[in-house]
Amino acid sequence: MLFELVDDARIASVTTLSRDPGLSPFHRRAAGLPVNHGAAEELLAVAPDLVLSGSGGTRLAERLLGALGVPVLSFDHADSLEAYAANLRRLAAALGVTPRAERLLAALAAKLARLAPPPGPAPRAVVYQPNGYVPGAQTLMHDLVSRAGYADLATELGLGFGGFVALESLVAAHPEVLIVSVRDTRAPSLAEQLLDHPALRASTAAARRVEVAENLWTCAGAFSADAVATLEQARP
Amino acid sequence: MSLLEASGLSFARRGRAVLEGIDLVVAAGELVTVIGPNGAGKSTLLRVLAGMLSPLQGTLRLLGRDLGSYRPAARARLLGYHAQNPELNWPLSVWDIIALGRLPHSANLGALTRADHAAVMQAAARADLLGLLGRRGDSLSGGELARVLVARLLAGEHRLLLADEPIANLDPRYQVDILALLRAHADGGGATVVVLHDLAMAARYSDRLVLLDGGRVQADGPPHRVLTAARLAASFGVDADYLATSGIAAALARARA
Amino acid sequence: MSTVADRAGSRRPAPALLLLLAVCALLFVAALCVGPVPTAPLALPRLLWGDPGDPLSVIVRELRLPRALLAVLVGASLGLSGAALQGLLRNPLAEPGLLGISGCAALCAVLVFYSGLAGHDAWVLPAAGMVGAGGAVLGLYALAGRQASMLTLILAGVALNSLAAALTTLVLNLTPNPFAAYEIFFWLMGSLANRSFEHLWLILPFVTLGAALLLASARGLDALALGEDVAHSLGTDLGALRRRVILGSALAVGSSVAVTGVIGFVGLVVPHLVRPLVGHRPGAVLVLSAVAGAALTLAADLGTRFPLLNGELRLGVVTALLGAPFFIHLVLRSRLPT
Repeated sequence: MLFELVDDARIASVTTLSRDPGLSPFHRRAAGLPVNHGAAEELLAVAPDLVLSGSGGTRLAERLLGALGVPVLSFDHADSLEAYAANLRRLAAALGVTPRAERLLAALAAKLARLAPPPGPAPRAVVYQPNGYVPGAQTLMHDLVSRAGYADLATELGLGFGGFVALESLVAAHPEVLIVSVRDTRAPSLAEQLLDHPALRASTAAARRVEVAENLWTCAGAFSADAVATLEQARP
Repeated sequence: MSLLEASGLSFARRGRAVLEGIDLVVAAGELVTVIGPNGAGKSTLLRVLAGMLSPLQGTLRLLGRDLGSYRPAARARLLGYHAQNPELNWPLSVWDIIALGRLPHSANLGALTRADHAAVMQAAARADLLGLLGRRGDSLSGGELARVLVARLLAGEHRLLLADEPIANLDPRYQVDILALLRAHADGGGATVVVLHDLAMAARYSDRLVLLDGGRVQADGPPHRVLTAARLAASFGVDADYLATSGIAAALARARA
Repeated sequence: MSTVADRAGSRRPAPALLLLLAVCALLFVAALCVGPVPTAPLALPRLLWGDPGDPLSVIVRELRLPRALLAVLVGASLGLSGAALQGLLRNPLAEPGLLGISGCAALCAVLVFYSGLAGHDAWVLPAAGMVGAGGAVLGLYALAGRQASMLTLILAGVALNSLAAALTTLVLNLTPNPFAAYEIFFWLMGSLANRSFEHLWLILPFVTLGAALLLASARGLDALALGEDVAHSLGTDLGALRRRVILGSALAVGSSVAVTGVIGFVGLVVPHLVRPLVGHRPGAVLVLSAVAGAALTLAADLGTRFPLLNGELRLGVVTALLGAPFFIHLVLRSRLPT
């Protein structure tokens, strides 16, 4: 969100995750900025006016900084575009760039409106990740998949945040569309090989297979519209 | 025709000469015993004769043909070997141990034919083992196992038997039994070469003795010609005499005065 | 006379073999039926030759069938190799897992897989496994020597295993792919889950060749029961026998490990279970160990599909749970005076 709202000059330091091309769509911008590993010392050394933290890490660094008088804003991970909008507005208020945020959100809403699916029965789709992990109904991926006009099997399978689904169970549920999250890595792994299993290809042969770049939908942002657009392309 | 003909055999291990210039002829019907002090090279000689070790020099012929020219299976049918230290790695039944002697004769699948079956039974009978056929090999006494291993040797129906110390550490009763079996084999038209430590037993059962000392043949002939006082003193370091009386031959050592 | 012979005759392997084959067949059918989506045995023929669009048919044909066939192939390889190694080394503790053969095969497979070399040509993966397995045997001979005592051999195996496991973990941690670090469990504990026909075809020629070589060593192993000298006198070519067992093990076990990871204890336990059935004759033990190994692996794989643990149980864990107590029993038995 920070990248979306301000220029590089205003950014003192970013976490190492921003440089990971598999996770962050802004990795090129992050490459030119100083990085930190979330340690309090590193953050103090940069003497920021404001520290942003996600809900993932420990609270120790934040408490330490708070005790030293450094303002800290923490955000819960956005599991839907509505949550993202709320987070963005909150950050914009703290940074004093509210008009920019509103422009961004308006543009996003317009794009999504154009991508709205036609009426009719929603094809049954499932997001299958390496090792057989299926993200649940309370995730951003589910939100985007639903916006693209699919009926996410995650709800059918009763997955809250997500879970590992055996290949057999997946085949038995016979999805019409298989959605795969890909990252550009040349090194193979057994976990990713699972997605090429003949059983999967056989069961969804008549169905479609979509590949979405992982960094487009791990976190929410204006680029989420691109994720929805990619998903829509596979609609029969 | 001689069954086995060795001429000028020599063998070395780690640069040290173990056997030198060995000449030995064994004809059908003969039981030849190789005697000698410890370290003379008796076991090594037997293993060379069996084809396990290749001699550095010399020739070795089995039934007129070079031993090395025989295919292993053919050689195994003609020549049987009994090892010095009895080794049984799995607790096979007595029957199974004896039946192993039929391996050179059996086809690949290893099932016993009628002929195999008969040979095993006959060997077991001759070694007085009919009552023990079902026993496990690891439940036998030393004497019983020794008889079983000799029965294994006999079951192979070989022409030539090479037996290395077949009666070591056995009761006199079993010693006599086993040597009688080996004698009977020779009497039946085959030939036997035995390595023995016991000079009395060697003298009693052999047609010829071959005295091996320092890797060389020191004497080769009937027992009374080989076991002279001079030779006994020279090779064995004992003050002894060879006695033959009422069919029993023995080389007895005099006690030190 | 004939009654004496019948009583004393060696226990024919045929009845035990038929029994084991029957058990194996039952377990195979069970393997096709058990899973998150249970299938009735009677429905199998229809599903096996059924319509590819039917999801249940896909499950049976593309998921369970290759998995069961792999269990048979790999289990037979492990059983054969264990029996052959125990017969050759005349050591009841010999087996590809303990001696480090499987571990080294896994290491080479991991090197080749995660470096991307296996992507060029599928055969590279089983080839790496076989090279690793062969290298391990050579390493064993180098470390322990030809006339190794039981202790020396096991120590050499422990050394190889430790080294192989450490290097495997290192490689997996160094590879850039984030999932690789977790795949240590697959390689060191083995798994048949989600294997496909591609994996089966990949190793089938090598396993078949390796198994043939191992089975051909039956006569020589029988002769070895009386020691090397007697075996030689019975016509056995000791060098050829050794090569057959080593090469056969490297081919069969090496290629299997490349596709399923290390599955331990099957090669150790199976020959011991089978020996009393055939009077301890090494040749007969060999054949029965192949079938019993297949049956044990099928059973262990079925064990991993217990609904309780949600399929998280690794095959290697099940075989270790079965094998380790047996190992303890062997140790205790060796302490008792005979």
